Amino acid sequence: MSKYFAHISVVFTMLFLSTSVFADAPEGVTKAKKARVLSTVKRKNWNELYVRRVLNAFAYGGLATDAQIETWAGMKPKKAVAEILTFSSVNNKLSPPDGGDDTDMHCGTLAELQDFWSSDDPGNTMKYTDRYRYAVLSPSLRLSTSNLVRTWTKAISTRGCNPFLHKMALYITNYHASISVRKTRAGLIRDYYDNIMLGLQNGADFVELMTIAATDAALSKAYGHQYSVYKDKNETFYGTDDFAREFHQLLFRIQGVTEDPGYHEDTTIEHAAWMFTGMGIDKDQGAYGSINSSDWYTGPINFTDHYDNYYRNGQPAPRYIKNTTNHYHADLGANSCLEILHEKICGANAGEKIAALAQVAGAHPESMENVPVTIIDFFADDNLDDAKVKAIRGSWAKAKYDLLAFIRAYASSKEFHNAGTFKYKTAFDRNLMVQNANTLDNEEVFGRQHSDSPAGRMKGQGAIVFDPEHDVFGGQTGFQAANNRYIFKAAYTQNVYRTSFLYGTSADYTLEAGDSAAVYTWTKEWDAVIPVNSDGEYVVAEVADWLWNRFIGDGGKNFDPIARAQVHALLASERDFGYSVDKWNREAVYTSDEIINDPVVSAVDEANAAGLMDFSTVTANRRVGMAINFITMTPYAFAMEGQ
Amino acid sequence: MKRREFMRRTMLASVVAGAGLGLGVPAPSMAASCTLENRSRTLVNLMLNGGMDSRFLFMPSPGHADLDYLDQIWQARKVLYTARYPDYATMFANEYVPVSHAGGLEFGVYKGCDWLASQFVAGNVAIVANSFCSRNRRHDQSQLNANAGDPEYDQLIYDRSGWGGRLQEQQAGTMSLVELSHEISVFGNSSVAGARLSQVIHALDMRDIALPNVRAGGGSTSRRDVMSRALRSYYEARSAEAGNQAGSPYHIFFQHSDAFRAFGDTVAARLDACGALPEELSGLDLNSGHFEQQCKNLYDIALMDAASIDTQILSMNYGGWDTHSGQLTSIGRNLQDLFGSSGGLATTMTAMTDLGTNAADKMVFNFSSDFGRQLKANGGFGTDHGRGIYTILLGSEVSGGTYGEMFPAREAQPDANSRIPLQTSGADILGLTSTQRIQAALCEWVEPGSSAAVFPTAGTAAEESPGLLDGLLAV
Repeated sequence: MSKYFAHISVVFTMLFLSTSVFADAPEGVTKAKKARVLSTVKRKNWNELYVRRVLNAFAYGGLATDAQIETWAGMKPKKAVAEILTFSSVNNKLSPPDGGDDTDMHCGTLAELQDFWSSDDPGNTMKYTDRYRYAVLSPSLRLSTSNLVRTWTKAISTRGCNPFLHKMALYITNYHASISVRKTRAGLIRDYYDNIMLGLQNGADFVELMTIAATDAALSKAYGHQYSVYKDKNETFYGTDDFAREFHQLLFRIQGVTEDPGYHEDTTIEHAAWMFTGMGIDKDQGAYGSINSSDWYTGPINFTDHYDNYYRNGQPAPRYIKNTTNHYHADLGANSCLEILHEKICGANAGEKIAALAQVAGAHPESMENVPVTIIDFFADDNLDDAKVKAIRGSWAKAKYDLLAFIRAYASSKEFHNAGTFKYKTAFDRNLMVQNANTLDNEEVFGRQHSDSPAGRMKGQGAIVFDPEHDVFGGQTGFQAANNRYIFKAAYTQNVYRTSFLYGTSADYTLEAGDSAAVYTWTKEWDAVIPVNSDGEYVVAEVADWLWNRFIGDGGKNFDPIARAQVHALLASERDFGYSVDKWNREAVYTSDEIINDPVVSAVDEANAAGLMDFSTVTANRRVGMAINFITMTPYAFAMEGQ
Repeated sequence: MKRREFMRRTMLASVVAGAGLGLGVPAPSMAASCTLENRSRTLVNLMLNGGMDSRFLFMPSPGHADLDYLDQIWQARKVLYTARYPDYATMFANEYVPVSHAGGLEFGVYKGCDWLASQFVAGNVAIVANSFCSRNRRHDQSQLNANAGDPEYDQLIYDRSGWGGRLQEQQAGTMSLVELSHEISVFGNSSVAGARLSQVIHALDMRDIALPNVRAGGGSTSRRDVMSRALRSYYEARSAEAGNQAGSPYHIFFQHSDAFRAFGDTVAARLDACGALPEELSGLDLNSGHFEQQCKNLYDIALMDAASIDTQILSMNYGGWDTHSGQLTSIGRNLQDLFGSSGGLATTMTAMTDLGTNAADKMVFNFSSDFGRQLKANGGFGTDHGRGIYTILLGSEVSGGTYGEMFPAREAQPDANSRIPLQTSGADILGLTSTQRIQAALCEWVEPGSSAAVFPTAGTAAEESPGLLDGLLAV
């Protein structure tokens, strides 16, 4: 933990000491007082559906109880959102810790989670036989990417850990300032993710977060500028301009369209390339405990000339990392300056200059315009119109880079809770929301088979954390997922061929090694969360409505007669509706009109709907699983509306 | 039984019975029920995503008349070759294959591209030098520009038409555009908002193209069959009702289901009848698994008849060209996959020729990229983003040769700012011919009379010299 904190501290110090010319508030901020901003939903309109919409868009549905959702629905919108959306490692209301399990004490970073879940700590209730699957290292003592992916995926559905915090960290590291584990290996990318997590937890604003990203060893490795050198003697640069370009385009969304093209290429990007020199990365023998020397790259970047702790063939072979020598005119110290974005960017090393440039870049008009729109496009709306965009930009300026304040303003706004809003879900969103809605407690999270994680499904549908589909351009977007027929097909195939994923009702597990270890059994108990009616009964139609709202969250708006008939049949008999009507003509297709008006057909649906469910039986719990398989494969599980 | 089910089963029966679905010669090794058809002209748009270094692919021969140019390009690029060659001629002899066609310019094609080299010598390859598909050096914008067929488009809005989609709109309504890669690109988007993909078939894996079905006889009470019936029935019924409206965000998912049901079973039946992939394709082992699958898909398209998939426009892509560091290894792998004699396209086209139809002869490949690379190598043994590219067309109906100045002398001479491009970081290939001109020619080749609708301004688009592209493709 300490080395992450040290990195963050260094970044904050550099920001404090930066000598960039940035005395006045950016133009956008001054104008924000008169600019249109997001307007808050009126309290009288705020209800459970609004709360669910916030949970679905920002926290993979969250892990809050129905009672908590109801409480939030009765609060003022801003107050409710302030409780729902926090960057603390634990949010007791959004994801209340489970008793008997100490995960919430380790939710601050993925490193902590990996250490804890792979350990024999008595507070660890991860099933014993799976613990090694969350370790930093594989059994061959090399960094394990699959274990890291598994850990992240598990954290989202674990009560005690904050899914909103993780979704924001995913956005920053896998979409906004994205890199791939293929170019960094699991250690560096996990450290990058954790540095961002800690930054968020410690209140870093957007500019500070981008500074953390841009100075991170993982990005230097991924983009290759760890090898870039500026030779002062002959004023020659040897290196790549890749990150110089993407720092502007991706981290700050400055495309250069408002700049003179020649200046942008030949001054801003060129000089930024010179700035990203002296960013060599140390190799630390045995880093992460790995025996593989390729795993030994470690951060934070030490910007001085120094020896690292490399070994070759078991013998010390320290490498001289010339980060001062290789940096642009480090001999001038704090007076080493480069013109970038029409400003003098100064600093004794790359870290200081990056901190200075980040403040200028954050205030650039293109950044002020594009960054907030990009954020909202990712989280909440694929249908932004001019009015919404104006309000979003106005609120971004007002927030002065405070990411949490901005997101909260949006989450409680009319612009979000709007008939024109809709969001296509990525495979991350859809699968993790289903997982969260389907997982009732941490015993289920830790006691089920490791293969019952959605990581495999997401991978098959093009969503792999730390291995973004488009590399530095980020992971799969909702728009791409929606337009890809094979993602639809992959999900469809999973729900048909592997119903057990959502249908499973029990699993045995142990918490110790050995044949004599006590065997525990997790069992699914839907009656712990599904409410009984006033007669103390679980009526099929009512259970169906509750399930639809839990998994789709639209208050039943799209729960049409055809879908209802299928869900009623599955809950009542574990059969599809066609079989339920006439098993000798089971492939018949029934329209809404037939289901409502045909005497024979409607009678079957009515009978199914009126059936009672006995949740003391395994059968009832399984039937809920079948209903969920169906519900989560309707189109309404693939997108969200704003109203 | 619903009408759709009746039609599906009837079509299945006729395919299995081989009931005269088209002309053509049955391939000798296949079941008699798979009657193959001759094909109409087919455009294969193959995007090389990431910005391909086409200057690496094509280099001047040691006998190039401009010695200063030779010296400068050597100095600019020698670090890209990991072996320490003493001079340009030695490097060329080890890394390139000399080619020329019909007495034209002799130059080198990278040695890993021996199939491309042989095709050039045979007159089947046109290289359009100094072309451009965008005006910027950003991947996302440039790829959009390339797929939209609009170099001047400066917005990053993906919900717009692609030039492939606009071309398809000029064809009969029953025809489709087929995406063979793992991701549908803007290339295939139609002009109709809310229904951009209505005529696009996504064939990520031709041999796995149907949604799950119940087992024969209506299926059992197994969970798989129950869920299969429930979902199929739901989508079929709901797709026709109010919940599925063109403006609704959910409309696209109903379209997916409809599309798979409409052609998936038919295609599956057709491929069953036509048999397995030939061994050289089933055993294809490329560096890129994505491209390997696309090649198999391409072959399977040649097995289709009009009743199963009626198309003249195909989309493929190959990524991984953003070679900022260690270029030789990555670009070498990519080029071998694409253009090597044991690469994907050579293998596929040979297998296609063995079918005995005209499918291979009627295909023209258009290779383009988001942008090119800088002329001078960077300090990481790679190249950074440029703009100008070399567009490559390959096919029997291509008029082979080079179009435009392959190695412009200006690159070795001071420019207006007194800087020599080959010595200047940031300098790139100067784009002089808009890819709109090339794409318009391809449109006319596929669908005569279509280019005016697809590219209304192509006639005034930039061209290195007037009439440069006349006769690029067979009439």
